[in-house]
Amino acid sequence: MGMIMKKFLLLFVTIFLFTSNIHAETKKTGATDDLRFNLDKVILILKDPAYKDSSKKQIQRDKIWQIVLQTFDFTEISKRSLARNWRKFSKEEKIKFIKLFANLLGSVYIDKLVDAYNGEDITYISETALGDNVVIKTTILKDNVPVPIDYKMKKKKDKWFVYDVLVEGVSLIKNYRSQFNQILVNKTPQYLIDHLEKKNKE
Amino acid sequence: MQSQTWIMKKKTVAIIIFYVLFFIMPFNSYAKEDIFDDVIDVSELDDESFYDDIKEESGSPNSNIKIHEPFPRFNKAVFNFNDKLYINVFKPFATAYDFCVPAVMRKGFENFFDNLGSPLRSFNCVLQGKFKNGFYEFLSFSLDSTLGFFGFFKPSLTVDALNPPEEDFGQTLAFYGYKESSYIVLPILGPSTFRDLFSNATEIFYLSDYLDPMDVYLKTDTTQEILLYSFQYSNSLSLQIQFYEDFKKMSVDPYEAFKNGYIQRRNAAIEK
Repeated sequence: MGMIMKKFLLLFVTIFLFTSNIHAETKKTGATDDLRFNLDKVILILKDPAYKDSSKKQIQRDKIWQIVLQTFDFTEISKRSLARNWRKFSKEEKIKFIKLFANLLGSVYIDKLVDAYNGEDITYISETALGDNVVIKTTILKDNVPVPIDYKMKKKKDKWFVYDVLVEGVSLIKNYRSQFNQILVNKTPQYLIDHLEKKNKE
Repeated sequence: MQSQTWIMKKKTVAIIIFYVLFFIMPFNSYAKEDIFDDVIDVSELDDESFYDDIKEESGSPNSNIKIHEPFPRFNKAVFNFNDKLYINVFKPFATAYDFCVPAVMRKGFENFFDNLGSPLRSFNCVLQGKFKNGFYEFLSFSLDSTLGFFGFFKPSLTVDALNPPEEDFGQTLAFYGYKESSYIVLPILGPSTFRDLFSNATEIFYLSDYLDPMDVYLKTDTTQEILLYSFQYSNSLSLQIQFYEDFKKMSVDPYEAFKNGYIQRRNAAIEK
């Protein structure tokens, strides 16, 4: 009897330790804090009347770029967008690709923010674990209608970085993955790099 | 003698200016790509642990959503036709419309048509067993139709619960097992699937006779309905064109991007 009781006790203790550990972990990932910290900085720059003048827009863009680079992990984004095609790229091609892809994504994102941002606030709804990574659900009001935007984040050297953005359930990297795959079925990595370069110049 | 020293001085000054410029230039007008040098860690390039994550997410290392496409050449031709139509015909029309009709009125019309679709959404909630959301949808319809002056305003937007995820007949069909459907690009209307085409037709030509207040009270015939839908479509056209252009701008293969985006969005709506 005593043995069984002990086993039960041990079981309860392990369950307790295990669950309390999970609880502690979800509470102090700090991912939402990191995201909020950076997005707040972006919003502050967008709202700053000092950049109202059209001649100051480039400075505003550069400032946002600095924060974007601390928020998004473009290496991870590139890897996951290329998926199995990543191995087809040489080291130099990988570096070139990351730079061009980051530039395309960042420019479109920042241009859109600078042109269309109208004081909307972000609501942080939840943070859920996804293996070692996390998903943070947010909404942003567009014409009073909440648009769901989810951020997938991964920890790198004590800091959380975004590696995927889902707008109304549409994953950015899954969307690019199908596009890149379509091109790389019968074209070389160099072709894709040239194509991205052209796209960046448009 | 004097002119010679002056030339010498000029040379030194030129050299100094050259060196100063040489060192300052890169900091002043960096090429965009240079700002990425600090954030790319070369040691990460060979780390392929992301494969496991992708596999876990979707069960295959490539994880492209399988999209069945019986008529790819037809679809691409229609896609290119639509592109020309949107940019050369619809865009100028939408710009003119926006110029003539004030934004408040445009929003009002949009709300009005959106509200007319509410009973149908509520019905689809019920068909999928989402009784609570069906009830909330019906509540917001009652509220907007009365306090919101026939739906031109949307007081229901102030209460989160009164805005459940929108359900249409395509999602109902998916709920009963018709989850995957072949992709097709429709002239004018754009990306769709056979399931969604069938569901739109069913909603417009059959279900709305019973559930669209306009149809029920005004007994509109098909011609009038097509006119109304055209008006509804053109009223929010400029927003859609803006989205279309933005999405095209950021994609490397626009046809593939719209196909994948449409299917992803529909799958997400079905999941909800």
